[in-house]
Amino acid sequence: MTSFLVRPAFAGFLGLDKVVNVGEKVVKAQAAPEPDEATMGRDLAALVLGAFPPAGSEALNQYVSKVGLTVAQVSSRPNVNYHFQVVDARDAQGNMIVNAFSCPGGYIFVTRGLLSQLKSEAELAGVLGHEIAHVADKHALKAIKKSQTTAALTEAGADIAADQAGVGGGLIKKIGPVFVNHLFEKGFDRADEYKADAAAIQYAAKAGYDPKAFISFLNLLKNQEGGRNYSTIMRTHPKPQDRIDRLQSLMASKNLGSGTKQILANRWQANASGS
Amino acid sequence: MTKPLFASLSVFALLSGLSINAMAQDEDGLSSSGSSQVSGTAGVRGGDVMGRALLKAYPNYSAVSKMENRHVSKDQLNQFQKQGKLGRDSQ
Repeated sequence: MTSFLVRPAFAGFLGLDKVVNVGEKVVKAQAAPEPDEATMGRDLAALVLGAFPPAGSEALNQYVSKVGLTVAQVSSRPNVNYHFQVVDARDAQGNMIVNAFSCPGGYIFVTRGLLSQLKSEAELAGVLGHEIAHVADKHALKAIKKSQTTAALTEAGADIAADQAGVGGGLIKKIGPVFVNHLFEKGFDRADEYKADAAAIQYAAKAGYDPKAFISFLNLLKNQEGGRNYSTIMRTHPKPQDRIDRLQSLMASKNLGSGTKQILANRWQANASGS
Repeated sequence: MTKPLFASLSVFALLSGLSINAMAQDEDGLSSSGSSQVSGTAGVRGGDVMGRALLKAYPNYSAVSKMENRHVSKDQLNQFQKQGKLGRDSQ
């Protein structure tokens, strides 16, 4: 990309050349084409599976995939190639972490720790629906786009600070890990989380599941606030009570609970036992 | 021509008001208590167990391929939905 930035002759004396570099990086980030969703998603999924090994029997993963695909079929983007995988994620003490997350392109992960807390297939459908909504509405791509600009600022800013402190440059070198860390530290925008919740219960209801089951899961989160195994999911999502309040209003306004809806607790128990 | 120059000046204005601290490095080379904060957005904090695991991870493409190759046929999915009284036509 040709630089259009003006470089004053005295820039080097004042450290302004670095400021100009920051500007160039930000302009490039803003002008960058939309990242290829499938390729980026695959790379991120490979990183996820490098950190959190695949878990569960093939039968369990098939079952989770069937529930996920049932929900994905009625989502706003049913033609994405959705893939589902149970993973093992643990803290330093070996405790299972409760979480679910997604990468662009339809790669969706659910931890064994989360599965161990569920009581029905309808709850799983709600959790997967939330992740499917993140993919369908391209929330991760939006976050990547945002982090590209931020990373340009962060990287150049750190270089300047490091030079000033005399400790050498390059404190933050890789944009990718910054994004990944950003995803697990901060989560998506809160507005996107609320949108994903709303989509989750609408998808679940449309697929024939009881949408109240997702609210049951959020109640479980609410009761576990402060629990170590829940720290990531709590930090990266709004307060469970806020989510519950919004979903209850939505259910009432859209009359989502009407008609025969499935909970499928027995089928869940049959398939999840021994997971 | 004006817009990029304006962008660089805006960034200058932004950076001039920042306080950026050198990060402490732990034995893993990850940041610990120190932080690099740029207008309150993403810095590598590494405080989260999942974030730390990902920062240390090597990509596992064979596991991704296995995930991608897990096949659920249309018939299998239809049967699954029929048994559970689910799917588009369940209403």
